[in-house]
Amino acid sequence: MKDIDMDERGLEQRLLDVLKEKTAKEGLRYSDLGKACRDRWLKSLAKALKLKQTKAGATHVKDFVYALWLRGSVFVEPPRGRHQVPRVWSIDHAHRHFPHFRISSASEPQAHTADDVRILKEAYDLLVSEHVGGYVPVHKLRREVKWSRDRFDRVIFDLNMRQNPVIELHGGDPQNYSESQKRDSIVKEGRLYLRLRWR
Amino acid sequence: MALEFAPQFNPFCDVAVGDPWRSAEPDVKSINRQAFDSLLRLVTSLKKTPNVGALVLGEAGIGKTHLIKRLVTSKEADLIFVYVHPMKDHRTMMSSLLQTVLTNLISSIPSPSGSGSGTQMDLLVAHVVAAAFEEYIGENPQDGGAPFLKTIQKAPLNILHFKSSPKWQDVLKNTVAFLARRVSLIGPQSKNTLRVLFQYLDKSKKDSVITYLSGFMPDDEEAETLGLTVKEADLTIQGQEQRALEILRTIGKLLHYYRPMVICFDQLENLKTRELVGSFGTLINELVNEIDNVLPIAFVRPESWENTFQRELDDSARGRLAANLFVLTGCDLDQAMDIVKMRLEWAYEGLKKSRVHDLYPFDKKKLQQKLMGVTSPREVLTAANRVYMEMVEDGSKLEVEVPIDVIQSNFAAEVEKLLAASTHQPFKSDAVGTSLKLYFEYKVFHTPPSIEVRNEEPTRLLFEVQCGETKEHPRVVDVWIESAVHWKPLHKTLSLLTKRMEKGEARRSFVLRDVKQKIPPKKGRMPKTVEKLKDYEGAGGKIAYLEYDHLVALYSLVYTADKVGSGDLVYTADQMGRQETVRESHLGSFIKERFQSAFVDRLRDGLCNESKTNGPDDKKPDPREVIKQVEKLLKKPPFMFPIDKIVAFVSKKHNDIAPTFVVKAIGRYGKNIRQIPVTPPLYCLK
Repeated sequence: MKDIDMDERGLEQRLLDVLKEKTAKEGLRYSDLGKACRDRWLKSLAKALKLKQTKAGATHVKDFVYALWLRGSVFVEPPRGRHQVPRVWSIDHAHRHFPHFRISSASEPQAHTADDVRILKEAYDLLVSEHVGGYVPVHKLRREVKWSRDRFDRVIFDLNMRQNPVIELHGGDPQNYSESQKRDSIVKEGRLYLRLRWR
Repeated sequence: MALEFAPQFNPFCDVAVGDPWRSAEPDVKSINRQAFDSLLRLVTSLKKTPNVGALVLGEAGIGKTHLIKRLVTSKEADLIFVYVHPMKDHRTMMSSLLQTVLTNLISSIPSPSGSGSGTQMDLLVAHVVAAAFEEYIGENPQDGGAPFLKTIQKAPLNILHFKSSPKWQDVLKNTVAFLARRVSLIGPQSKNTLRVLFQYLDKSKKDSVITYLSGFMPDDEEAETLGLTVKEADLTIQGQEQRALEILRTIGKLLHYYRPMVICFDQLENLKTRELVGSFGTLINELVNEIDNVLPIAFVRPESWENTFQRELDDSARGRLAANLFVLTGCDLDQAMDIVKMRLEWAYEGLKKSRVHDLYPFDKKKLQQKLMGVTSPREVLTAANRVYMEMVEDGSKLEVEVPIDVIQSNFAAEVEKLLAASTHQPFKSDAVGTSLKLYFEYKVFHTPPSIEVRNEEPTRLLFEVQCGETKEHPRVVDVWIESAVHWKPLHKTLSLLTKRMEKGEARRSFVLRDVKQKIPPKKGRMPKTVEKLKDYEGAGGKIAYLEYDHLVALYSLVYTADKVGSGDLVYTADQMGRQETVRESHLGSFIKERFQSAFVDRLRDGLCNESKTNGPDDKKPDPREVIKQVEKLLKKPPFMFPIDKIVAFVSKKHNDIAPTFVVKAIGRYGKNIRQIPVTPPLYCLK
């Protein structure tokens, strides 16, 4: 009997089930994760991605995981020691293994509250008069709201990563900033952003 | 290639729009539409409120250049667009601006009627003459010229067809009288400007007219033919600046009969000294307060505005610019997707097969995820490029870029742009001086002597050359870049340099000059200056003429340095696609390792050599031989190369060949070679 292709929702569910089942003790490498999801899943992924080959490879699994990671559905452990490649975990297992790391998940409430946005906007409005065009240095805003690093980053990213972003992040010139100012700025996907602007 | 149906080129590979005039990169009009519409409104309201300025704030990559391109190509408002590179000499900003304005006015543009081409200057003169004619016919209906008026009103350029008619002098007299009745145009300088301007139509006087209208005082003989009297005060820098202001003021008044002018000051981050920023402030005040129908727009990065201009610019200039402030905003997700869509459309355009959907080869959802929160159009392209490269290379990592390669590509694109322009750039002594200073500051010579350079003034360089290994006193060599046309400032320069050599203050000296301003310009002309020149050469001086090829290399270096200074050049720093800004130290490496100019190399030889005959004269290979080499390379895979790769290949056979030379040779003799207009352009065989 011919296998029925999984749709995107099915692909996601299958991957999350596998992670729940297999990552109780250790995360899975992308290649092992693909194998654990079985052939039908790899074939469906290849079709969903409109690939030439019949089965998706580790790179495609990596991209699929990346999309889930962006939504906070999985946890990815960076390489360390003898582990040369990243490992993928289910959120629940990762919570137990990495208790000091704050992991947000899709099941959690919204990453910010209306109060967070209000506090941030008030702080921004306080600083904006000093900066023509509204390009406020990130470090100033961070120091003004005095939140934990994680909370500040989370709220900023949440207001930025939208179809209609509320906040724009701007690179700026690192030569104009001290080391501590750079540290108090924000890094997104490996890039340092020194200024932000409320749209 | 892993793609089933590949585009003609990667539309995401380079993200800086090189030349706002010619770039083929598509533009998403909805991005920064508000800023564009408001700017257009300002332009169209110039007739009512002629004295305004504007400030555009935006980070690198946010779309400043696209906004400029939109202004240049706008069909919504008829305007004259003037792009000004950052100026280098604080003493001559107004005359430098006038020179740029004039270059723009005398560039060929397609005529509005579609028949042949004219220049903005032709059109300006034609409109003024037509307005005067219209008034005349209104006052003298019995004259019988009414039928012509209709033709002229339809296409004012037609009035210039009467140039050879016996009535033409009457038409001009009528125009001068018409203008003389306007109170704002009756000052002595305005009268001079108008007198000269209408002689522009006389081909034999055209060069002298352009010299005068570019802010320079022509030599006595030419001045006399134009009806001008040269006064001592006219020949000083202050006199030149004052004259430039008056000429621009008159042009501004005349624009009332034609169309408004937008002057775009870009990359202002490069005004790095207090003097430059201060003079820029004065320039803005004068443009806004005194020159009608001209809208100056300053394009600045927010940090630079905050850290430099807010502190150094005088209150008045700051206020005038900030009165119309436009903040460029980034794009939302839909606009980001539109950027990708339009780039793909551009790259697939002309291919017979059609794509399955307009985002092919991307997966829409995956792309949306990647572009979520990316607001800078440049970063959108970078992110799209990352995904695209993964698909093309079947998952392999992105290619890491070397910053000096990026600089080299940009340099080649600048060369290309200057050579392709319909009008040559004028001789800009401040740009030549800045370029030479950059070259000698960064170039490391592996053999003695060592060379130190300092700018006495932006156009006057003083070299200290240390010969041999002993620590003897360094040899001083003067290098002056001289653009004066009148004999008096020329005499002054030559006398001063001769005296310096005679007194032992300088061992040698060079005067660098535009090849179009040879001394003498014709046999038998400027006899006294020729005598002075002989004295100068007898004392050990040498005059070296820069051809346009030499200038192109030097200007391209300065314009590339300006782009680096304003953070407009970026490179892929790692395999994850992280983008970094090209820094000044990278520019230094480029100059040290890659920049070649036969002219400057020979100048360097001249600095080191005691021989009085040695100087920066150029030797060139046969361009047909060069083309053979180029074609040889283009037959090799990938059959498509940027100019820097071509130059590197040709250099194997012809040492030290300048990129400008290769581009020119391709333009002139490369009949089998096709240029693909991307940034930087690619070459392939037809």
